Amino acid sequence: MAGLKDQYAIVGIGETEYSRDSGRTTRAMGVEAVRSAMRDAGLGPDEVDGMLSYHGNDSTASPTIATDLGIRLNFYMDCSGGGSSTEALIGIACGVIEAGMCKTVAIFRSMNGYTEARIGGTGRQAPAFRSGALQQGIYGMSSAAQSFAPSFMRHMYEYGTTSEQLAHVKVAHSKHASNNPKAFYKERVSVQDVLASRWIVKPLHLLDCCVETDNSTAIIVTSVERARDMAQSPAYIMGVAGRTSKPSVGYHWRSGPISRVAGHYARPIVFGTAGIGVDDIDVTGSYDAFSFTTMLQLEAYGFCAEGEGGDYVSSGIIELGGDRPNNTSGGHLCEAYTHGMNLVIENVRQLRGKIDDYCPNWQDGEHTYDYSEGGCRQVRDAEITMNLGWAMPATGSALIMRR
Amino acid sequence: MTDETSSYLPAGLPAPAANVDGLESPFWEGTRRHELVVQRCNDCETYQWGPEWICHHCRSFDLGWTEVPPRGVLYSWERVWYPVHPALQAKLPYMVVLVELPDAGNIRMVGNLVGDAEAEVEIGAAVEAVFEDHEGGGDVEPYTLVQWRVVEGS
Repeated sequence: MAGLKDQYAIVGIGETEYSRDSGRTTRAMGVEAVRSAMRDAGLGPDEVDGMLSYHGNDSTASPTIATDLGIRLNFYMDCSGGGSSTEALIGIACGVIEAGMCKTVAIFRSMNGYTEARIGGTGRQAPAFRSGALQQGIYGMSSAAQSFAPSFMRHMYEYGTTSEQLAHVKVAHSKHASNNPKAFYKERVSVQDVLASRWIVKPLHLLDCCVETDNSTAIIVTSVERARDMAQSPAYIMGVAGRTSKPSVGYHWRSGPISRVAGHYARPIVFGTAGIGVDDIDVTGSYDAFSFTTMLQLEAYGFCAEGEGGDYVSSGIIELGGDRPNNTSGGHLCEAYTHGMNLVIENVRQLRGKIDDYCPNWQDGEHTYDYSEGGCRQVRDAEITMNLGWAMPATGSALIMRR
Repeated sequence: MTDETSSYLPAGLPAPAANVDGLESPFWEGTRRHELVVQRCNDCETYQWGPEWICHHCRSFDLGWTEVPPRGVLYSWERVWYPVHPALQAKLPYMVVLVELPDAGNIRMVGNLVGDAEAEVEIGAAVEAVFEDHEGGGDVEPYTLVQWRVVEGS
Protein backbone atom coordinates (compact mmCIF):
# COMPACT_ATOMS: atom_id res chain seq x y z
CA MET A 1 0.00 0.00 0.00
CA ALA A 2 1.35 3.39 -0.97
CA GLY A 3 1.50 6.18 1.55
CA LEU A 4 2.55 6.52 5.15
CA LYS A 5 -0.48 5.31 7.06
CA ASP A 6 -0.23 5.75 10.83
CA GLN A 7 3.44 6.76 10.71
CA TYR A 8 2.86 10.45 11.49
CA ALA A 9 0.56 12.36 13.79
CA ILE A 10 -0.70 15.78 14.73
CA VAL A 11 0.51 16.45 18.26
CA GLY A 12 -0.13 20.15 18.77
CA ILE A 13 -2.78 22.69 17.82
CA GLY A 14 -3.07 26.41 18.49
CA GLU A 15 -4.97 29.46 17.44
CA THR A 16 -5.40 33.13 18.25
CA GLU A 17 -8.70 34.77 18.97
CA TYR A 18 -11.04 34.82 15.96
CA SER A 19 -11.93 38.47 15.48
CA ARG A 20 -12.58 41.28 13.04
CA ASP A 21 -10.27 43.71 14.74
CA SER A 22 -7.03 41.97 15.65
CA GLY A 23 -5.14 45.26 15.81
CA ARG A 24 -1.99 43.18 15.38
CA THR A 25 0.38 42.12 12.66
CA THR A 26 0.33 38.68 11.06
CA ARG A 27 3.77 38.30 12.66
CA ALA A 28 2.47 38.77 16.21
CA MET A 29 -0.50 36.49 15.57
CA GLY A 30 1.62 33.81 13.90
CA VAL A 31 3.99 33.73 16.84
CA GLU A 32 1.09 33.38 19.26
CA ALA A 33 -0.54 30.53 17.31
CA VAL A 34 2.65 28.50 16.86
CA ARG A 35 3.65 29.11 20.47
CA SER A 36 0.22 27.95 21.58
CA ALA A 37 0.54 24.77 19.49
CA MET A 38 4.02 24.10 20.93
CA ARG A 39 2.70 24.54 24.46
CA ASP A 40 -0.21 22.22 23.64
CA ALA A 41 2.26 19.53 22.51
CA GLY A 42 4.66 20.24 25.34
CA LEU A 43 7.47 21.19 22.97
CA GLY A 44 10.26 23.71 23.50
CA PRO A 45 12.04 25.69 20.78
CA ASP A 46 14.81 23.10 20.47
CA GLU A 47 12.26 20.40 19.67
CA VAL A 48 10.73 22.01 16.58
CA ASP A 49 13.02 22.19 13.55
CA GLY A 50 10.69 22.46 10.57
CA MET A 51 8.14 25.07 9.53
CA LEU A 52 5.60 25.35 6.72
CA SER A 53 3.21 28.16 5.91
CA TYR A 54 0.87 29.24 3.15
CA HIS A 55 -0.22 32.71 2.23
CA GLY A 56 -1.64 35.03 -0.39
CA ASN A 57 1.01 37.73 -0.03
CA ASP A 58 -0.80 38.64 3.18
CA SER A 59 1.30 36.99 5.89
CA THR A 60 4.66 36.78 7.64
CA ALA A 61 7.14 34.13 6.52
CA SER A 62 8.43 31.14 8.50
CA PRO A 63 12.00 32.37 9.13
CA THR A 64 10.66 35.41 10.96
CA ILE A 65 8.16 33.44 13.04
CA ALA A 66 10.77 30.81 13.89
CA THR A 67 13.34 33.43 14.91
CA ASP A 68 10.75 35.14 17.12
CA LEU A 69 10.22 31.79 18.87
CA GLY A 70 13.90 30.93 19.28
CA ILE A 71 13.63 28.07 16.78
CA ARG A 72 16.58 27.21 14.51
CA LEU A 73 15.15 25.60 11.40
CA ASN A 74 16.45 22.58 9.50
CA PHE A 75 13.65 22.95 6.96
CA TYR A 76 11.12 25.58 6.01
CA MET A 77 8.89 26.45 3.07
CA ASP A 78 6.40 29.26 2.55
CA CYS A 79 4.11 28.67 -0.37
CA SER A 80 1.35 30.59 -2.01
CA GLY A 81 -2.05 29.10 -1.42
CA GLY A 82 -5.44 29.29 0.15
CA GLY A 83 -8.04 26.73 1.05
CA SER A 84 -6.97 23.09 0.84
CA SER A 85 -3.36 24.03 1.72
CA THR A 86 -3.65 22.73 5.29
CA GLU A 87 -4.11 19.09 4.30
CA ALA A 88 -1.50 19.38 1.54
CA LEU A 89 1.09 20.85 3.90
CA ILE A 90 0.41 18.15 6.49
CA GLY A 91 1.29 15.64 3.77
CA ILE A 92 4.43 17.60 2.92
CA ALA A 93 5.40 17.65 6.59
CA CYS A 94 5.18 13.85 6.75
CA GLY A 95 7.30 13.67 3.59
CA VAL A 96 10.13 15.91 4.71
CA ILE A 97 10.36 14.15 8.09
CA GLU A 98 10.37 10.79 6.28
CA ALA A 99 13.16 12.12 4.05
CA GLY A 100 15.24 12.86 7.12
CA MET A 101 15.28 16.60 6.53
CA CYS A 102 13.88 17.49 9.96
CA LYS A 103 12.06 15.90 12.88
CA THR A 104 9.06 18.00 13.87
CA VAL A 105 7.20 20.53 11.71
CA ALA A 106 5.01 23.46 12.75
CA ILE A 107 2.48 24.53 10.09
CA PHE A 108 0.80 27.91 10.37
CA ARG A 109 -1.48 30.34 8.56
CA SER A 110 -1.67 33.96 9.70
CA MET A 111 -4.05 36.44 8.09
CA ASN A 112 -5.89 39.65 8.83
CA GLY A 113 -8.63 38.40 6.57
CA TYR A 114 -11.05 41.11 7.56
CA THR A 115 -9.07 44.23 8.39
CA GLU A 116 -6.41 43.91 5.67
CA ALA A 117 -6.65 41.60 2.66
CA ARG A 118 -10.20 40.27 2.32
CA ILE A 119 -10.53 37.07 0.33
CA GLY A 120 -13.29 38.60 -1.77
CA GLY A 121 -10.72 40.94 -3.30
CA THR A 122 -11.60 44.06 -1.34
CA GLY A 123 -10.22 45.55 1.89
CA ARG A 124 -7.32 47.70 2.95
CA GLN A 125 -4.65 45.54 1.32
CA ALA A 126 -6.72 44.46 -1.66
CA PRO A 127 -4.60 43.24 -4.55
CA ALA A 128 -4.88 45.16 -7.82
CA PHE A 129 -7.94 44.04 -9.78
CA ARG A 130 -6.73 41.64 -12.43
CA SER A 131 -8.61 40.33 -15.39
CA GLY A 132 -6.67 37.10 -15.04
CA ALA A 133 -5.84 34.23 -17.31
CA LEU A 134 -9.48 33.35 -17.73
CA GLN A 135 -10.28 36.88 -18.82
CA GLN A 136 -13.12 36.58 -16.33
CA GLY A 137 -12.48 39.90 -14.63
CA ILE A 138 -13.46 41.89 -17.69
CA TYR A 139 -16.94 40.40 -17.26
CA GLY A 140 -17.07 41.31 -13.57
CA MET A 141 -16.31 37.73 -12.48
CA SER A 142 -13.43 37.80 -10.05
CA SER A 143 -14.20 36.91 -6.43
CA ALA A 144 -14.42 33.34 -5.22
CA ALA A 145 -18.20 33.60 -5.01
CA GLN A 146 -18.42 34.92 -8.56
CA SER A 147 -16.03 32.29 -9.94
CA PHE A 148 -17.79 29.33 -8.30
CA ALA A 149 -21.45 30.37 -8.60
CA PRO A 150 -22.09 28.94 -12.10
CA SER A 151 -21.05 25.50 -10.82
CA PHE A 152 -23.57 25.82 -7.99
CA MET A 153 -26.32 27.05 -10.33
CA ARG A 154 -25.75 24.18 -12.72
CA HIS A 155 -26.04 21.67 -9.87
CA MET A 156 -29.45 23.14 -9.01
CA TYR A 157 -30.52 22.85 -12.64
CA GLU A 158 -29.30 19.30 -13.20
CA TYR A 159 -30.40 17.76 -9.92
CA GLY A 160 -33.21 19.96 -8.65
CA THR A 161 -31.11 21.08 -5.68
CA THR A 162 -32.78 23.95 -3.79
CA SER A 163 -31.72 26.97 -1.78
CA GLU A 164 -33.70 25.53 1.13
CA GLN A 165 -31.59 22.37 1.11
CA LEU A 166 -28.35 24.33 1.06
CA ALA A 167 -29.54 26.59 3.88
CA HIS A 168 -29.37 23.53 6.14
CA VAL A 169 -25.57 23.68 5.93
CA LYS A 170 -25.58 27.11 7.56
CA VAL A 171 -28.27 26.02 10.01
CA ALA A 172 -26.19 23.00 11.09
CA HIS A 173 -22.94 24.93 11.38
CA SER A 174 -24.61 27.73 13.35
CA LYS A 175 -25.99 25.12 15.73
CA HIS A 176 -22.46 23.82 16.25
CA ALA A 177 -21.05 27.34 16.68
CA SER A 178 -23.58 28.08 19.41
CA ASN A 179 -21.65 25.52 21.51
CA ASN A 180 -18.26 26.99 20.65
CA PRO A 181 -17.02 29.85 22.87
CA LYS A 182 -14.41 30.76 20.21
CA ALA A 183 -16.89 31.15 17.35
CA PHE A 184 -17.25 34.59 15.78
CA TYR A 185 -20.96 34.01 15.02
CA LYS A 186 -22.56 32.05 17.85
CA GLU A 187 -26.19 32.76 17.05
CA ARG A 188 -28.30 29.92 15.68
CA VAL A 189 -30.07 30.71 12.41
CA SER A 190 -33.03 29.15 10.61
CA VAL A 191 -33.54 28.12 7.00
CA GLN A 192 -35.75 31.17 6.66
CA ASP A 193 -32.96 33.44 7.95
CA VAL A 194 -30.68 32.17 5.20
CA LEU A 195 -33.28 32.56 2.45
CA ALA A 196 -34.20 36.05 3.65
CA SER A 197 -30.59 37.27 3.65
CA ARG A 198 -29.60 39.44 0.71
CA TRP A 199 -28.13 38.08 -2.50
CA ILE A 200 -24.37 38.28 -2.92
CA VAL A 201 -24.23 36.38 -6.20
CA LYS A 202 -27.30 34.39 -7.00
CA PRO A 203 -27.54 31.48 -6.06
CA LEU A 204 -25.52 32.58 -3.00
CA HIS A 205 -27.28 34.49 -0.24
CA LEU A 206 -25.20 36.39 2.30
CA LEU A 207 -25.64 33.55 4.80
CA ASP A 208 -24.47 30.98 2.24
CA CYS A 209 -21.08 32.74 2.39
CA CYS A 210 -18.44 32.35 5.08
CA VAL A 211 -17.42 34.94 7.62
CA GLU A 212 -14.17 36.90 7.08
CA THR A 213 -11.94 37.21 10.15
CA ASP A 214 -8.46 38.08 11.48
CA ASN A 215 -6.59 35.14 12.97
CA SER A 216 -3.67 32.75 13.01
CA THR A 217 -3.83 28.98 13.39
CA ALA A 218 -1.12 26.34 13.82
CA ILE A 219 -0.62 22.57 13.76
CA ILE A 220 2.42 20.47 14.72
CA VAL A 221 3.26 17.23 12.89
CA THR A 222 5.82 14.65 13.97
CA SER A 223 6.56 10.93 13.72
CA VAL A 224 4.63 8.43 15.84
CA GLU A 225 7.82 7.55 17.73
CA ARG A 226 8.16 11.13 18.96
CA ALA A 227 4.42 11.58 19.33
CA ARG A 228 4.25 9.03 22.11
CA ASP A 229 6.27 11.24 24.43
CA MET A 230 4.17 14.36 24.00
CA ALA A 231 1.56 16.03 26.14
CA GLN A 232 -1.54 15.11 24.11
CA SER A 233 -2.78 11.88 22.64
CA PRO A 234 -1.78 11.91 18.97
CA ALA A 235 -4.18 12.26 16.06
CA TYR A 236 -2.76 9.63 13.69
CA ILE A 237 -2.63 10.48 10.00
CA MET A 238 -4.16 7.60 8.05
CA GLY A 239 -4.22 9.16 4.61
CA VAL A 240 -3.72 12.46 2.86
CA ALA A 241 -4.25 13.89 -0.62
CA GLY A 242 -2.97 17.31 -1.55
CA ARG A 243 -3.98 19.89 -4.11
CA THR A 244 -5.45 17.21 -6.33
CA SER A 245 -6.81 18.87 -9.43
CA LYS A 246 -9.24 18.55 -12.28
CA PRO A 247 -7.77 18.75 -15.78
CA SER A 248 -7.11 22.32 -16.91
CA VAL A 249 -7.35 24.04 -13.53
CA GLY A 250 -7.97 27.56 -14.82
CA TYR A 251 -10.82 26.51 -17.08
CA HIS A 252 -12.50 24.23 -14.57
CA TRP A 253 -15.82 24.82 -16.31
CA ARG A 254 -14.47 23.51 -19.61
CA SER A 255 -15.83 19.98 -19.56
CA GLY A 256 -18.09 17.48 -17.88
CA PRO A 257 -20.63 18.32 -15.23
CA ILE A 258 -19.00 21.46 -13.80
CA SER A 259 -20.33 20.64 -10.34
CA ARG A 260 -18.02 17.58 -10.21
CA VAL A 261 -15.17 18.99 -8.15
CA ALA A 262 -11.55 17.99 -7.52
CA GLY A 263 -12.45 15.69 -4.64
CA HIS A 264 -13.60 13.26 -7.32
CA TYR A 265 -9.90 12.71 -8.05
CA ALA A 266 -8.57 12.99 -4.47
CA ARG A 267 -11.01 10.37 -3.19
CA PRO A 268 -9.19 7.19 -4.34
CA ILE A 269 -5.85 8.58 -3.15
CA VAL A 270 -6.87 9.41 0.40
CA PHE A 271 -9.13 6.41 0.97
CA GLY A 272 -6.59 4.16 -0.75
CA THR A 273 -3.84 5.08 1.68
CA ALA A 274 -6.13 4.97 4.71
CA GLY A 275 -7.52 1.59 3.67
CA ILE A 276 -11.03 2.49 4.81
CA GLY A 277 -14.25 3.76 3.25
CA VAL A 278 -16.81 6.50 3.80
CA ASP A 279 -18.80 4.35 6.24
CA ASP A 280 -15.85 4.36 8.64
CA ILE A 281 -15.83 8.16 8.95
CA ASP A 282 -17.46 9.53 12.12
CA VAL A 283 -17.01 13.27 11.56
CA THR A 284 -16.39 15.28 8.40
CA GLY A 285 -14.82 18.69 7.96
CA SER A 286 -16.02 19.67 4.50
CA TYR A 287 -14.71 23.14 3.69
CA ASP A 288 -17.49 25.68 3.90
CA ALA A 289 -16.32 28.76 2.06
CA PHE A 290 -19.93 28.55 0.88
CA SER A 291 -22.78 26.23 1.79
CA PHE A 292 -22.38 24.73 -1.68
CA THR A 293 -18.69 23.83 -1.28
CA THR A 294 -19.57 21.63 1.68
CA MET A 295 -22.23 19.84 -0.34
CA LEU A 296 -20.25 19.39 -3.56
CA GLN A 297 -17.32 17.86 -1.70
CA LEU A 298 -19.46 15.46 0.33
CA GLU A 299 -20.73 14.23 -3.04
CA ALA A 300 -17.28 14.08 -4.60
CA TYR A 301 -15.88 11.92 -1.81
CA GLY A 302 -18.81 9.54 -1.95
CA PHE A 303 -20.72 10.36 1.23
CA CYS A 304 -23.70 10.51 -1.08
CA ALA A 305 -24.19 9.98 -4.80
CA GLU A 306 -23.54 12.75 -7.32
CA GLY A 307 -26.66 14.91 -7.39
CA GLU A 308 -27.91 13.80 -3.98
CA GLY A 309 -25.98 16.35 -1.96
CA GLY A 310 -29.05 18.50 -1.38
CA ASP A 311 -30.84 15.60 0.30
CA TYR A 312 -27.73 14.67 2.28
CA VAL A 313 -27.06 18.10 3.79
CA SER A 314 -30.73 18.69 4.64
CA SER A 315 -31.32 15.26 6.21
CA GLY A 316 -29.89 16.00 9.65
CA ILE A 317 -26.87 13.74 9.08
CA ILE A 318 -24.44 16.67 9.17
CA GLU A 319 -25.72 18.09 12.47
CA LEU A 320 -24.43 17.27 15.94
CA GLY A 321 -26.57 14.33 17.02
CA GLY A 322 -26.75 13.15 13.40
CA ASP A 323 -24.87 10.18 11.99
CA ARG A 324 -21.90 12.14 10.64
CA PRO A 325 -21.67 15.74 11.81
CA ASN A 326 -19.79 18.22 9.62
CA ASN A 327 -17.66 21.12 10.86
CA THR A 328 -18.59 20.79 14.51
CA SER A 329 -16.82 24.08 15.36
CA GLY A 330 -19.21 26.01 13.16
CA GLY A 331 -16.59 26.05 10.41
CA HIS A 332 -15.90 28.91 8.07
CA LEU A 333 -19.56 29.88 7.97
CA CYS A 334 -19.66 30.64 11.71
CA GLU A 335 -16.46 30.04 13.70
CA ALA A 336 -13.87 31.87 11.58
CA TYR A 337 -12.27 31.94 8.17
CA THR A 338 -8.75 30.54 8.39
CA HIS A 339 -8.30 28.99 4.95
CA GLY A 340 -9.08 25.56 6.31
CA MET A 341 -6.84 25.08 9.32
CA ASN A 342 -9.50 25.55 12.00
CA LEU A 343 -11.45 22.70 10.40
CA VAL A 344 -8.51 20.32 10.93
CA ILE A 345 -7.87 21.66 14.44
CA GLU A 346 -11.50 20.91 15.34
CA ASN A 347 -11.19 17.31 14.19
CA VAL A 348 -8.00 16.85 16.22
CA ARG A 349 -9.95 18.01 19.27
CA GLN A 350 -12.78 15.59 18.43
CA LEU A 351 -10.32 12.70 18.31
CA ARG A 352 -8.80 13.71 21.64
CA GLY A 353 -12.29 13.77 23.16
CA LYS A 354 -11.49 17.23 24.44
CA ILE A 355 -13.68 19.59 22.45
CA ASP A 356 -13.57 23.04 24.07
CA ASP A 357 -17.32 23.53 24.45
CA TYR A 358 -19.42 24.77 27.38
CA CYS A 359 -19.15 21.52 29.37
CA PRO A 360 -17.50 22.51 32.67
CA ASN A 361 -14.88 19.75 32.62
CA TRP A 362 -14.18 19.49 28.90
CA GLN A 363 -10.45 19.70 29.59
CA ASP A 364 -10.70 16.34 31.34
CA GLY A 365 -12.71 14.90 28.47
CA GLU A 366 -15.99 15.05 30.38
CA HIS A 367 -18.93 15.85 28.12
CA THR A 368 -22.70 15.90 28.49
CA TYR A 369 -23.49 15.13 24.82
CA ASP A 370 -26.38 17.55 25.23
CA TYR A 371 -26.25 19.55 22.02
CA SER A 372 -28.69 22.25 23.12
CA GLU A 373 -27.57 25.84 22.64
CA GLY A 374 -24.71 26.73 24.94
CA GLY A 375 -23.95 23.07 25.60
CA CYS A 376 -21.78 20.27 24.27
CA ARG A 377 -20.28 19.71 20.82
CA GLN A 378 -18.20 16.60 21.42
CA VAL A 379 -19.15 13.70 19.15
CA ARG A 380 -19.46 10.54 21.23
CA ASP A 381 -16.68 8.04 20.53
CA ALA A 382 -15.28 9.90 17.54
CA GLU A 383 -12.64 7.52 16.19
CA ILE A 384 -12.03 8.58 12.60
CA THR A 385 -12.40 12.04 11.06
CA MET A 386 -12.01 13.31 7.53
CA ASN A 387 -11.22 16.79 6.24
CA LEU A 388 -12.28 17.78 2.73
CA GLY A 389 -10.27 20.85 1.80
CA TRP A 390 -11.41 23.17 -0.98
CA ALA A 391 -9.33 25.70 -2.89
CA MET A 392 -11.62 26.05 -5.89
CA PRO A 393 -13.75 23.71 -7.98
CA ALA A 394 -10.65 22.33 -9.69
CA THR A 395 -8.35 21.92 -6.67
CA GLY A 396 -8.86 20.17 -3.35
CA SER A 397 -7.09 18.25 -0.59
CA ALA A 398 -8.16 15.65 1.94
CA LEU A 399 -6.99 14.20 5.25
CA ILE A 400 -8.14 11.18 7.25
CA MET A 401 -7.12 10.95 10.92
CA ARG A 402 -7.84 8.48 13.71
CA ARG A 403 -7.43 8.61 17.46
CA MET B 1 -25.35 38.52 -34.49
CA THR B 2 -25.75 42.08 -33.33
CA ASP B 3 -23.37 45.01 -33.24
CA GLU B 4 -23.29 46.96 -30.02
CA THR B 5 -21.66 50.29 -29.36
CA SER B 6 -22.48 50.89 -25.70
CA SER B 7 -20.94 48.56 -23.14
CA TYR B 8 -22.88 46.31 -20.77
CA LEU B 9 -20.62 46.95 -17.78
CA PRO B 10 -19.66 50.52 -16.79
CA ALA B 11 -16.49 52.24 -17.93
CA GLY B 12 -13.54 51.95 -15.57
CA LEU B 13 -13.00 48.18 -15.63
CA PRO B 14 -9.59 47.01 -16.85
CA ALA B 15 -9.16 46.01 -20.49
CA PRO B 16 -8.33 42.36 -21.32
CA ALA B 17 -5.03 41.38 -19.70
CA ALA B 18 -1.78 41.79 -21.57
CA ASN B 19 -1.34 38.97 -24.06
CA VAL B 20 2.46 38.87 -24.28
CA ASP B 21 2.68 35.20 -25.33
CA GLY B 22 0.17 35.73 -28.10
CA LEU B 23 -1.83 32.70 -27.00
CA GLU B 24 -5.14 34.52 -27.26
CA SER B 25 -4.33 36.86 -30.15
CA PRO B 26 -6.40 35.15 -32.88
CA PHE B 27 -9.46 35.40 -30.64
CA TRP B 28 -9.04 39.11 -29.95
CA GLU B 29 -8.20 39.83 -33.59
CA GLY B 30 -11.36 37.96 -34.57
CA THR B 31 -13.58 39.91 -32.24
CA ARG B 32 -12.37 43.16 -33.82
CA ARG B 33 -13.80 41.82 -37.10
CA HIS B 34 -16.95 40.71 -35.19
CA GLU B 35 -16.09 37.08 -35.76
CA LEU B 36 -16.02 34.36 -33.12
CA VAL B 37 -12.69 32.55 -33.52
CA VAL B 38 -11.74 29.65 -31.23
CA GLN B 39 -9.03 27.03 -30.93
CA ARG B 40 -9.27 23.77 -32.86
CA CYS B 41 -6.68 21.02 -32.87
CA ASN B 42 -4.99 20.55 -36.25
CA ASP B 43 -4.49 16.85 -35.53
CA CYS B 44 -7.76 15.60 -34.03
CA GLU B 45 -10.03 18.54 -34.97
CA THR B 46 -11.36 18.91 -31.42
CA TYR B 47 -12.58 22.39 -30.53
CA GLN B 48 -11.13 23.91 -27.37
CA TRP B 49 -11.82 26.92 -25.14
CA GLY B 50 -10.12 28.74 -23.41
CA PRO B 51 -6.96 28.81 -25.38
CA GLU B 52 -4.04 26.68 -24.22
CA TRP B 53 -0.78 25.34 -25.68
CA ILE B 54 -1.92 21.73 -25.68
CA CYS B 55 -4.97 19.94 -27.05
CA HIS B 56 -6.57 18.34 -24.04
CA HIS B 57 -8.13 15.65 -26.20
CA CYS B 58 -5.12 14.20 -28.08
CA ARG B 59 -2.24 16.08 -26.36
CA SER B 60 -1.04 17.53 -29.62
CA PHE B 61 0.72 20.90 -29.51
CA ASP B 62 -0.39 21.69 -33.06
CA LEU B 63 -3.40 23.88 -32.40
CA GLY B 64 -5.12 26.02 -34.99
CA TRP B 65 -7.95 28.54 -34.97
CA THR B 66 -11.27 28.54 -36.73
CA GLU B 67 -14.30 30.78 -36.99
CA VAL B 68 -17.48 29.31 -35.50
CA PRO B 69 -21.12 30.46 -35.63
CA PRO B 70 -21.63 33.13 -32.94
CA ARG B 71 -24.46 31.33 -31.19
CA GLY B 72 -24.95 28.92 -28.33
CA VAL B 73 -27.09 27.86 -25.39
CA LEU B 74 -26.99 29.01 -21.79
CA TYR B 75 -25.11 26.40 -19.74
CA SER B 76 -25.14 28.26 -16.42
CA TRP B 77 -25.40 31.77 -15.00
CA GLU B 78 -25.09 33.98 -11.95
CA ARG B 79 -26.57 37.34 -10.98
CA VAL B 80 -24.03 39.53 -9.21
CA TRP B 81 -25.28 41.89 -6.51
CA TYR B 82 -22.00 42.45 -4.68
CA PRO B 83 -19.18 43.66 -6.92
CA VAL B 84 -15.42 43.61 -6.38
CA HIS B 85 -14.30 46.39 -8.73
CA PRO B 86 -15.58 49.81 -7.59
CA ALA B 87 -16.70 50.71 -11.13
CA LEU B 88 -19.30 47.96 -10.96
CA GLN B 89 -21.20 49.76 -8.21
CA ALA B 90 -22.85 51.68 -11.04
CA LYS B 91 -24.36 48.51 -12.56
CA LEU B 92 -26.02 46.24 -10.03
CA PRO B 93 -27.09 43.62 -10.50
CA TYR B 94 -25.34 42.31 -13.57
CA MET B 95 -25.40 38.89 -15.23
CA VAL B 96 -22.46 36.58 -15.92
CA VAL B 97 -23.13 33.52 -18.03
CA LEU B 98 -21.46 30.34 -19.23
CA VAL B 99 -22.46 29.66 -22.82
CA GLU B 100 -22.09 26.30 -24.53
CA LEU B 101 -21.48 26.25 -28.29
CA PRO B 102 -23.16 23.20 -29.93
CA ASP B 103 -21.71 24.21 -33.31
CA ALA B 104 -18.19 23.92 -31.89
CA GLY B 105 -18.03 20.71 -29.91
CA ASN B 106 -19.91 22.18 -26.94
CA ILE B 107 -17.00 24.34 -25.81
CA ARG B 108 -17.99 26.87 -23.14
CA MET B 109 -17.31 30.61 -22.87
CA VAL B 110 -17.73 33.20 -20.11
CA GLY B 111 -19.49 36.46 -20.84
CA ASN B 112 -22.22 38.84 -19.76
CA LEU B 113 -25.86 38.45 -20.73
CA VAL B 114 -27.01 41.78 -22.13
CA GLY B 115 -30.51 43.04 -21.48
CA ASP B 116 -32.48 43.34 -18.26
CA ALA B 117 -30.28 41.84 -15.55
CA GLU B 118 -33.29 41.05 -13.40
CA ALA B 119 -35.25 39.23 -16.12
CA GLU B 120 -35.88 35.51 -15.68
CA VAL B 121 -33.24 33.39 -17.37
CA GLU B 122 -33.42 29.75 -18.31
CA ILE B 123 -30.56 27.34 -18.68
CA GLY B 124 -30.80 25.88 -22.16
CA ALA B 125 -32.03 29.11 -23.73
CA ALA B 126 -30.65 29.95 -27.18
CA VAL B 127 -28.25 32.90 -27.16
CA GLU B 128 -26.35 34.84 -29.80
CA ALA B 129 -23.10 36.75 -29.57
CA VAL B 130 -23.03 40.52 -29.24
CA PHE B 131 -19.73 42.11 -30.26
CA GLU B 132 -19.12 45.00 -27.90
CA ASP B 133 -16.54 47.47 -29.21
CA HIS B 134 -14.35 49.44 -26.81
CA GLU B 135 -12.34 52.41 -28.03
CA GLY B 136 -9.45 51.93 -25.63
CA GLY B 137 -7.32 54.99 -25.02
CA GLY B 138 -4.04 55.83 -23.39
CA ASP B 139 -1.96 52.65 -23.46
CA VAL B 140 -5.00 50.49 -24.25
CA GLU B 141 -5.58 49.45 -27.85
CA PRO B 142 -9.17 49.25 -29.05
CA TYR B 143 -10.69 45.86 -28.21
CA THR B 144 -14.00 44.04 -28.60
CA LEU B 145 -15.70 41.84 -26.02
CA VAL B 146 -18.01 38.95 -26.85
CA GLN B 147 -21.27 39.28 -24.92
CA TRP B 148 -24.45 37.26 -25.25
CA ARG B 149 -28.13 37.94 -25.79
CA VAL B 150 -31.12 35.62 -25.50
CA VAL B 151 -32.65 34.90 -28.91
CA GLU B 152 -36.28 35.97 -28.64
CA GLY B 153 -38.79 33.21 -29.18
CA SER B 154 -36.21 30.52 -28.53
